[in-house]
Amino acid sequence: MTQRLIPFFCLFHMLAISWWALPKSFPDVANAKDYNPTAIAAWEAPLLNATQLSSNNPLNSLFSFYINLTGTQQYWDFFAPSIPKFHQYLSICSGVIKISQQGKIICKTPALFSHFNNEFDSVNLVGIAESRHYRLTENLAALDNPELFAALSHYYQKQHAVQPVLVLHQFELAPDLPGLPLYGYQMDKQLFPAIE
Amino acid sequence: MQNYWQAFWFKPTDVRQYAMLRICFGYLSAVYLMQLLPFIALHFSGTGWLANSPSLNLANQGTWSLLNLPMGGFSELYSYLVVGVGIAASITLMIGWNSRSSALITWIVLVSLWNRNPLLLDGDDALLKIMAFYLFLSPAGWAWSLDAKKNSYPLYAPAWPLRLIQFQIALLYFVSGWVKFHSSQWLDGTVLQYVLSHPHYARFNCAGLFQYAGFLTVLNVLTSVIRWWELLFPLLLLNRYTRRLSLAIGVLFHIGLLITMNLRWFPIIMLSLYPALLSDAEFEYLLQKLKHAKLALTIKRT
Repeated sequence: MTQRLIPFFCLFHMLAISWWALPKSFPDVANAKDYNPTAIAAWEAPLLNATQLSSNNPLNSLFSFYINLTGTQQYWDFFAPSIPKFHQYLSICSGVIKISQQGKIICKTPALFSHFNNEFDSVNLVGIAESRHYRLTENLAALDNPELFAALSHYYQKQHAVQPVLVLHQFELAPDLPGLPLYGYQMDKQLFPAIE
Repeated sequence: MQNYWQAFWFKPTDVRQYAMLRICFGYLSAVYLMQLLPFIALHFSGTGWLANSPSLNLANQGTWSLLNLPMGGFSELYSYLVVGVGIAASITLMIGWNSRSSALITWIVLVSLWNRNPLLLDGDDALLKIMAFYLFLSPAGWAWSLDAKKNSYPLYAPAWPLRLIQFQIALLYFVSGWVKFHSSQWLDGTVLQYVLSHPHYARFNCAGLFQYAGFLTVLNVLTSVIRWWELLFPLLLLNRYTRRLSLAIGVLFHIGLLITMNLRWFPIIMLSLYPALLSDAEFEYLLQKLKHAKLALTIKRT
């Protein structure tokens, strides 16, 4: 009995994680602008179609339930990160000054939180804290979700009794553009509160 | 056909292969959980910025988490307790004390963290939680463990948990290779220029080298090799010689990542998976080499 059930379980597991991990379609990926949505080869179409289970399909529910239960979510961008055309840092300020000509937004007073260091070294051994904060910033910037910004802002508002401003310090990487500073342009953004 | 089917899933496999994975991933999970401790209060507990919102409703997040349980005023303490139990379980997994239960607890804690707030987490964290699940299914405590000192276990165990791990690795490379074929920067070969001049991801700023045509050619060749190697990885595993070639490329690739990029322990985690891709004979050969190296080191010291 066990000898029959185990291969069945293994095949089911393999199908479920493949269904989750294979891209559903390339234009829908998180950073679609970085990907070429037209180059779907003949061999790719069946694979992409295989992952298109309608929400009514019982297999969809079964796979979703199983992936959730086993915590085997593994979105493809874990392993093929979006192309880092920018590098970006987060600051939470109690007030800001905007220097539009230089693309900068700086905190009026010492930041409530910031992992931005304007000194870019040629040798860079990143610590664990920095790498976690960097990942958080990447995700917040990519998701661009006002609810998340509001939650983060609310936390610092409670802690410091000020109306915090979330600032994304963003730089374009431009190795193919001659004559620019090595680390490209600075173009800071105010994430929250939203600017009307 | 039926014999082949049975052999594929139930072929006797050296239990030390599972044990090596257990030791590596127990150690890595313990290190990762300890390094997450400074982030627990703010990013994972009920008193942090997510407060008591049970779910961020993100595409890669699950719904269950020990850290979603309402604990009122004890929320922060409770979160530290959960992670503390996870660290203890990772260590007992590494030394092989109640290995299966330890893997189960490690897996529950790692998934709980992921499902509570995946915004700080990445591919390395995903691999750890998935590997804890596979170790729970496998006889990982049957060798090189405290469990094996107390009990007498067979030297060989069925291959099916190893097959799941092998499939996992093949899927990981295939998907990541496939995606790279849809990235304009991977196709035109400029991706490594972006990565090697990135102030966060690059260990050394290589922008000064981009003026040399020879260096750019090397980067272009590397992007092509990586794309094709990842895409074809599942096929390359099927033949003994292409598998060895593929593993050699993988070792060089991940050592290259370790030297040039800041990816925390990701390259080490990937290399720790490689024992799962070795045949029994290759695994035995690796052990002999390690024994010789250890012996040579001991002689040198004395």
